[in-house]
Amino acid sequence: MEHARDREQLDQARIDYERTAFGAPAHVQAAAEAAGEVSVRSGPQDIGVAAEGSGVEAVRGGGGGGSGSSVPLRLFPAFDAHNPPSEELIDDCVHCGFCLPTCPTYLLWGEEMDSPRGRIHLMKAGNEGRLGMTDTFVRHFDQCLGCMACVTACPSGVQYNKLIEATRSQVERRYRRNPADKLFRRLVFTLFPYPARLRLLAPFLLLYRASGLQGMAEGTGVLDRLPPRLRSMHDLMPRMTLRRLRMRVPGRVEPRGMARARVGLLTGCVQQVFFPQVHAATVRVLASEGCEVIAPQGQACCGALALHAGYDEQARQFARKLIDVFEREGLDYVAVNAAGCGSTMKEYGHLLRDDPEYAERAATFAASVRDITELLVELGPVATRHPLRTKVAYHDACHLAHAQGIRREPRKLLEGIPGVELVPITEADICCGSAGIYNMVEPQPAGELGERKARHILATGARVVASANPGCTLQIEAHARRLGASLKVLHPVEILDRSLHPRRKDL
Amino acid sequence: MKKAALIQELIRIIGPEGVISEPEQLVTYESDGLRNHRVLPMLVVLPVSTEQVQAVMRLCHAEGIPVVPRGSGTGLSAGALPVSGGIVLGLSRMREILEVDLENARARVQPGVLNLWVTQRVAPEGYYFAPDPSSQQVCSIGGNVAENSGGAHCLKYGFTVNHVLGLTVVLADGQVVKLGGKGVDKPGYDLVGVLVGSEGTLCVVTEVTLRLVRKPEAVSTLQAAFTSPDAAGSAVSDIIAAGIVPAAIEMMDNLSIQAAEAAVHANYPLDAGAILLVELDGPRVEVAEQMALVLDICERNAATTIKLAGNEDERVLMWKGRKSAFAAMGRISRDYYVQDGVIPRTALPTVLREIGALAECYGLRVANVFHAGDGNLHPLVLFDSTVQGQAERAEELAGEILHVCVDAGGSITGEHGVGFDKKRHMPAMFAPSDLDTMQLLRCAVDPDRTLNPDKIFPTPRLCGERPGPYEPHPLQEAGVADLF
Amino acid sequence: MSTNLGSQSTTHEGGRAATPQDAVLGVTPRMVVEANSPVEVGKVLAWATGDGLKVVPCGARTKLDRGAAPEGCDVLLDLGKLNRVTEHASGDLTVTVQAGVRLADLQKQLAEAGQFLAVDPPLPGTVGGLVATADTGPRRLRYGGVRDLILGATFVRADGVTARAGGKVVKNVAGYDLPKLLTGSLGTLAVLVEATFRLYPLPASSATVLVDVAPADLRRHAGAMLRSTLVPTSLDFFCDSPGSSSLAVRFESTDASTRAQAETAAGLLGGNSRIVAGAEERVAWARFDSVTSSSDNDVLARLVATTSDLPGLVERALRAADEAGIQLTVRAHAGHGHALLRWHDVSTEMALALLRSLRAEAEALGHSLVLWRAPLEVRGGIDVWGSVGEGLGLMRRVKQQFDPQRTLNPGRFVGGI
Repeated sequence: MEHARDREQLDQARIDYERTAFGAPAHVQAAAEAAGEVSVRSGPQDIGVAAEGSGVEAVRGGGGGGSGSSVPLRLFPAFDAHNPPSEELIDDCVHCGFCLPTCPTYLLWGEEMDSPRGRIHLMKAGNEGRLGMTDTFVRHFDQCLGCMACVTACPSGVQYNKLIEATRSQVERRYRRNPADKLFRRLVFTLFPYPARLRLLAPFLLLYRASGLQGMAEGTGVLDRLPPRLRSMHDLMPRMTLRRLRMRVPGRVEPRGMARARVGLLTGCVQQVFFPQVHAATVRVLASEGCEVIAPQGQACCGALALHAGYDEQARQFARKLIDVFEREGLDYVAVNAAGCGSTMKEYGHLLRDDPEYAERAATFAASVRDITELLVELGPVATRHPLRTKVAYHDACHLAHAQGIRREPRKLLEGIPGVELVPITEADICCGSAGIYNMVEPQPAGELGERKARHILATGARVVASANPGCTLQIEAHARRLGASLKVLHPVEILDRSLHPRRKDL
Repeated sequence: MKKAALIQELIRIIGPEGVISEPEQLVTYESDGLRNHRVLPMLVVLPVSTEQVQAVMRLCHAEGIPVVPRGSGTGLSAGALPVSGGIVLGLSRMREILEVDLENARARVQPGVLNLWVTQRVAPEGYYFAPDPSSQQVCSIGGNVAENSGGAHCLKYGFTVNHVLGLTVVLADGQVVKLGGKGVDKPGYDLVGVLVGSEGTLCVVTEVTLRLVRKPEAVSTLQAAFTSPDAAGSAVSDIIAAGIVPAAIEMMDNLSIQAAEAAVHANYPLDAGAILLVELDGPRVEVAEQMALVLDICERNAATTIKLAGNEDERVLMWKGRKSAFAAMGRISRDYYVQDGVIPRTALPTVLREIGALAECYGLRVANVFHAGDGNLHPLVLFDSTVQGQAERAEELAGEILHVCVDAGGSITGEHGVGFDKKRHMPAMFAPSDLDTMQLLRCAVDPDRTLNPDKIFPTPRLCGERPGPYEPHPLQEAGVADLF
Repeated sequence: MSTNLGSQSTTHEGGRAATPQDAVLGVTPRMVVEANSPVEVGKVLAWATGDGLKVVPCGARTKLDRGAAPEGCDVLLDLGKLNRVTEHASGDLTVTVQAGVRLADLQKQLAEAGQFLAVDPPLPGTVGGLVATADTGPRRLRYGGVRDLILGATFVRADGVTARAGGKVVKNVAGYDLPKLLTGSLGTLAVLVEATFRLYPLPASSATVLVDVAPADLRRHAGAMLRSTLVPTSLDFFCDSPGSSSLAVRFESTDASTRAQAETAAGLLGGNSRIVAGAEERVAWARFDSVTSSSDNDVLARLVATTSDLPGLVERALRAADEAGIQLTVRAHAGHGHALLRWHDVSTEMALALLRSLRAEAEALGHSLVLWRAPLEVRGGIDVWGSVGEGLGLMRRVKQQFDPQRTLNPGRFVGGI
């Protein structure tokens, strides 16, 4: 009796699976069948649910994919042959799950498919043709913040960064997003990577705030009626000032004292328009530490936002342009003060690996890229540090800590300032939810993570936060505001700047 | 009940966010930490309370739907392998630490709380949770309870069962029972003692009362390299003979050293035949005295290098290599099969030689990681699944190793559990009457085998049967089921 | 010799007729059978269950008065002859031993290898009795209970089938951990014939810090010890007359560490604390042990609570006894929440009143008071075990599966199991 019951359930499970597992909508399958391309159900198929008898599919080998998982249908597999997530990289994953507790979405929802291990499993199933590129399939990749905490946690050295990039590129190329989503993403990608366009927007932000309109909007609750994504964009809006609006980075600045290095500065997109003060501080600090600072004209976005979202072609274009512009200057280092940009620029070699003209140049360029904190520690301090009596909570930007492995340097830099007390933040490894454009496209989880982060920071008692990435800075400020607290979020180099140049401004 | 109706009912119990039904999502639950076996579950549910677990169990019991509980899915015996047509009951959303009572050194937690979170929570007060499986940063307390997890420090501090005092459980029929509590040795059967380690076949645990341990005054960790595992083994014997109970003694052979070093750069000597990690903890004076003895013993056994951790960072690094050794095998081999056998510690030299001979015979490499103090051996069979037939040979070799362990007087599993993967080896260790007797418990608690069926036991006992005069069961007569 | 069992006209080889000295809590068995081997245990049980007889297993008979009186006793099954130490694997720190082996004999043998079974129950008898009662003493604080030390068991089911669970190695998770289920089951599920335990090395030296502590201060002093990083092996409170009570904290380690810890503890405890070792230490502990040397009209009970609630319960018990003019000796294991209480020479009514009020207080906090020894009239007025909480239904289901005909120790265990 029991066996009969099992049998029945097995069959039902099989049918359920076959009906839905392959992603292609029924009408598409029907059309394909009608066209005589493929016989969709040409007989009993082993669909990887169960083997005869035991109900268990025995897969030989830890990573094999192996004998049990015969592929029934490749009509609409999730991935095409152009750079799918590499099977070899996927096989590095031994399913140990060490990544789970470091993954922000797993932390929020406790769901396997929203964990790195689960996502890799989905990629594998996609490669095997067991799954198609359906809404659900795509959603779980969209929900990945790309924080790379899993890369840090992985004992097997799985290169999740490469896997998720390849997957996102396939998604953007092959998946049809709904029109509203598509429009929103297009808006983001035609605005943010372009400093000139952002600069056009900036005065309106200033006006919005200065006119009192913002206060009115926030007072009346009209904002609550905005769609979540727009609401999120609104809340993240940087606080523009007239001074910031007028700030520009000089093309070249002489070093103080003997020149120790010739350093190029990435001015980037968002940082340049909304955080010009960080650039100003960077230039002053570098100069004081004996660097000649060049900010090459004609540079644009580094391509990080595009790359992390799966627009790899756009990213490659940005990368080529940036290499062209910086190569001419004959630099010792290229300094970056935005963590997300630095991690992408360090990967240019991989990004342009298939480009015969640029592959080698990209690798050389990538090798010269340094995060500003990394560079300053590498060069060693020469300028005098004046004391700053304050408690600072250092926030690890994911693209610094996880993607670039830089944790020690910014802390060392800050600890080198007399009077600064550095306090740790609980769950330091967990993303704040900013994650490039993530807090705009996935406002709900981003909001939960932002609040979680803000609470942990507030719990430290520090009112100054050091954050080496503009996205994190906006996110932390926004969520502290929402909790009714005010936090001063500064780039570590701004804090150092105030120690080197004490009369400029107090913390 | 039709699947759609079932989903509706589950959504009514848990809410839509806790019911997973799409194939693209279910596929990620098809295996746990052991990928050798895969079964797609019909549904996955993620309850947040005892009441929700109870309602799910009632429903499934009434509908005859098998339920497989799951924690973090890191198990290595396919203990959380779904049952086809069944439901996976994921406890990953029940992750509150409900109470910390330091006066009694107890914590009450939900099953989805991760092992390491408990220690992190009480560390500022100078306490910790002693069981520390290598996966402690990700494995859940519920999973630890199901598997009776051990870890490197269980030689001195015992296993999960020694640190669980109370349980709230939901039985297969949905009945909720509170067992034990903060006190020890309450009158009545020690149901807590036997439910811990029952691999999710007897109940779903929804609350656990844990023992916390005071952090020792001193911890001292030594890393000693030897030319061979035999030499290291002899040092271990001398340490035990000297009346020392170390907090941990771990041994890694050369292959494991290579892998761990590649993964985490723990500064292990790459040319060593074996290294020992010996950790002593306790009162400062005792630790110092005994560590001097251990140093002496290592020297007498011709250790090639001996290193004492000078600070916490060095100690953590020594352990990091060991703790990531399994996953690090990915660095030196495409695939590997983790085995978990136990031997009487003194049989180590013989057993290692037999494993070596077997490996040679099969033409495969075997790396050995060994909880040397308690005899728990983790041979890692390395193979390449892309080479025709190698995966099968690896699995066969791993099975042979278990028989070597049992023949030496040991066990087929020290901490990973039997699960689905090892149930076929149970008869090597237990007679039919032993297995039959164990299943009396199953018949008492879950006679319909709703919870995690087809795990642990190679052949299920028919609970309708009673001890006494022999009467053939109808299923047996029909040739549908076997009787021992 | 064969014995005829009357109406059932069943006999068993090797049995003898029982005498009143063989009575179990007033129930005189019909016969006594001494088992010479595990196989014989199986035969006796198969026969008994087949014929619907009731069996009470016993060893040294030191705790035959534990629990309620059996509903019936046809056979007193004496396991005293199963007295072989099967295997002492000193290098592996394990011992496999038959159920009838006397604990004292076992410890003596193990000590030759510098090891011991880390239990010190108040009424040491045989290994079988140890497992059946799960009794522990002061060292439970450091080494855990019998459940924490037992690794494997061979036992005979009520139907006569011999089975084994657990293993002979320190670490093993194959199959259900039935040895733990048997531990403390008072022989109601199966008859243990052999068990494997993990062992510990005998510590090199011992010293005890003694300090006068009033019952009201027990919680504070015990807390100070438990919160420290000291590793006492025992933490006992003793009171045998109002105004005279003390705390004993024992350290057992290397010579230097024992001394250092004792000195630190003495410092922490302050007051009139003093360190004793050697003969003086033995005398001090012997006084504590006197709690169980009760006479016929005494009532002995065990309180099972938590570290935090124990001192309050003990204090109230002492006050109640004092008010009733009854002498009460208390030995409390303050580190793990157990206590033994002995009311001296107490009338039935008074005993029942004192027991009931203390039990009510204990159970209100989720704890237990179990009657160990008392005159039959006192036993008649109170459930020996008290409430065991929500688990009773499940316990009954387990008993039903293992011993459906209630052959083994019927009625002696919790809830009439």
